[in-house]
Amino acid sequence: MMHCPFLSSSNLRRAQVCVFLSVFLVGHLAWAQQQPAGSPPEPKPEAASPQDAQSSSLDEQVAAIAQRLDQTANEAALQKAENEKLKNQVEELSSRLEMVESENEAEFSAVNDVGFERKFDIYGFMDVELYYFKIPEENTGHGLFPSHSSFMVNRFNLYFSSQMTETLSALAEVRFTFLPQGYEASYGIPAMGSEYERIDTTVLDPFMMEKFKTGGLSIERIYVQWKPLGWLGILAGHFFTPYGIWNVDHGSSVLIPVRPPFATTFQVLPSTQTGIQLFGRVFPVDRLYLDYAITLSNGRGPTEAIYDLDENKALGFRLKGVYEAENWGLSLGGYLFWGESTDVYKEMTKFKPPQIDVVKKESFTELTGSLDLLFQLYGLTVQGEFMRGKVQYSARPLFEYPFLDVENPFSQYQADHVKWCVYGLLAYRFDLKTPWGDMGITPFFMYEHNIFDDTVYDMKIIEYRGGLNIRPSPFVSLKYEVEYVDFPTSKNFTSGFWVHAGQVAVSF
Amino acid sequence: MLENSTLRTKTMLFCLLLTLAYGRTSKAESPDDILVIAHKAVDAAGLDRAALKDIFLKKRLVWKDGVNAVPMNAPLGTKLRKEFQERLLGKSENETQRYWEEFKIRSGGAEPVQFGNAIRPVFHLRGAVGYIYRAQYQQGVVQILLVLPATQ
Repeated sequence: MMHCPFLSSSNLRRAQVCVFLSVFLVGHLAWAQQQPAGSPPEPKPEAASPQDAQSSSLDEQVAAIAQRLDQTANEAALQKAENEKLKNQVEELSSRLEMVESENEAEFSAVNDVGFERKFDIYGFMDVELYYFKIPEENTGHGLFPSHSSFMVNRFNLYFSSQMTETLSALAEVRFTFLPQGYEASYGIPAMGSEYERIDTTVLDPFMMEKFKTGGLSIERIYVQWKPLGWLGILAGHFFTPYGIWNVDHGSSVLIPVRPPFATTFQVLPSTQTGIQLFGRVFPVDRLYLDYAITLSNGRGPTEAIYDLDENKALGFRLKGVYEAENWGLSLGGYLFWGESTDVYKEMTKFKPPQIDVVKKESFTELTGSLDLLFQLYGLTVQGEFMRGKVQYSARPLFEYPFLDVENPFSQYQADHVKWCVYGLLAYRFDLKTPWGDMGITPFFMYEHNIFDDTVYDMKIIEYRGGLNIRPSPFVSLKYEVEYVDFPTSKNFTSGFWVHAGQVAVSF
Repeated sequence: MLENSTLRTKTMLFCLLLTLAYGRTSKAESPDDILVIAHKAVDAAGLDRAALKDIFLKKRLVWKDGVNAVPMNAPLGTKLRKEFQERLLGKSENETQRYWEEFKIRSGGAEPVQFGNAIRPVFHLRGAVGYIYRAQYQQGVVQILLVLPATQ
């Protein structure tokens, strides 16, 4: 590296002083040599004397030297800057080299995991309820719902999530349940010769001679998903219908109340579909994003997860806009579903050769739409969903009593009908600091208005709900709610009734 | 000569003020500042703080050029992660954990991967974004998207 003696300012200053003194002394000596010794000083002439001319010449020399000094100093500064730049580049390259050379270290091997090679997770949630239906004996609901307070393990859902490559993933969510144990398959109707039947799944282990009850398993969703772009992805399988707020956010550890609204559980829109879905997200401006989804599926039907009983596939379109500011957010969405549902039965009409005739038992076309709104401001949540649909039959089944799944013995047929439901939720989350850590306490109030079939007087349900949701940890929710359920137009549900429910929901 | 001297004095004063100003700036840089860093090839032009927040919450999954965004977290319970969550996400540790629990249940997705020092994986992986203390920063290895100053 070149060394420049003028780099430092002290050296520069010292050089300037030396030059100045040298020039001064040289000038003075030159002037003294030109003066004869002991001669008296001559009077000053009018015109410039030779000494003045000499002095002027020396000034010019000093100026020239000073200019050269400045020039040298500038060059030195430039050189210094250049050196600094090169030094930084060397440091940068050394750092990068160090990074590259460290590829064999354990941490780098962990980086390869980030490349989404065979990432597999298992997790889930579960809940336990204590509920009590307080229903007058004369009310139809008295026999329909459990008459005594009961504990129940309702949800035990396991997720199997796999990220095979950066863009390819699969998800399965399986619900384990004690059902169908205890399910009341039919009520005793002596006039029709029907007997009461409750499912008993008790089996005997032939080796241990131990009796135990088997349970059930429901595949809530399972799909493979390919998402090459942020605005475009495709999934195929059995998926949640992308409508509303709580159909997809269905986990009890996520829901604010103990159970979702009737509109969701009664499936005004199908909760799941089997088929394909195109989806994506775009950001037209920062803080605002739009989600879309297009679904093509078997639609509804008794066997929709396995096979379709008609050729008409169901179509759905979802659009949702979300705006998120620092302390508030607004989400507005809609979904439209159009499909045909068919049920058939099969008869063997010939034996040689065997012939099986397929007879349409039920068929209807449905057009249902939904709107959803979610507004959050600090701890405040205002949430609502609205659904409305029209059902038109081309093959009418026998009318079934609502909730009982019992066909009308007087051969009354199901009518075309309109259904609509709306619910609103108001909640406020208080974040408290306690000796056990941060805790969220959310009191809530909810109102539901449901007309599941405008031709059936029992199918209008109004519900008021109030309760408390406590989150002592991110993994645990403790909930309590009290509900008043009313059937204002019903002749069977002669009065409303109260339901008390507590829940512990845990994600793990 | 007098004018030259005045000019020099002014220049010296200006240099002095500049030095003082620089001194103040460099003093404001603390080793506890958190730097949001990304792979050098990441196109983050025009992305603001809110967009970075969306990336770390996995609401925004790609960069502007279409490359998948790969957010990286510091290990759970570390001071760095806690401070980052408070400074950028505006959430406490508890709230963030609740967010990821709900995220998993809703979408079936996973929360970001964790690294003790994100600079190395961010250097290696295209689309990666993480955060480190300024003291961990090595010049030229990654690009700095945002500085979250240390709280006094």
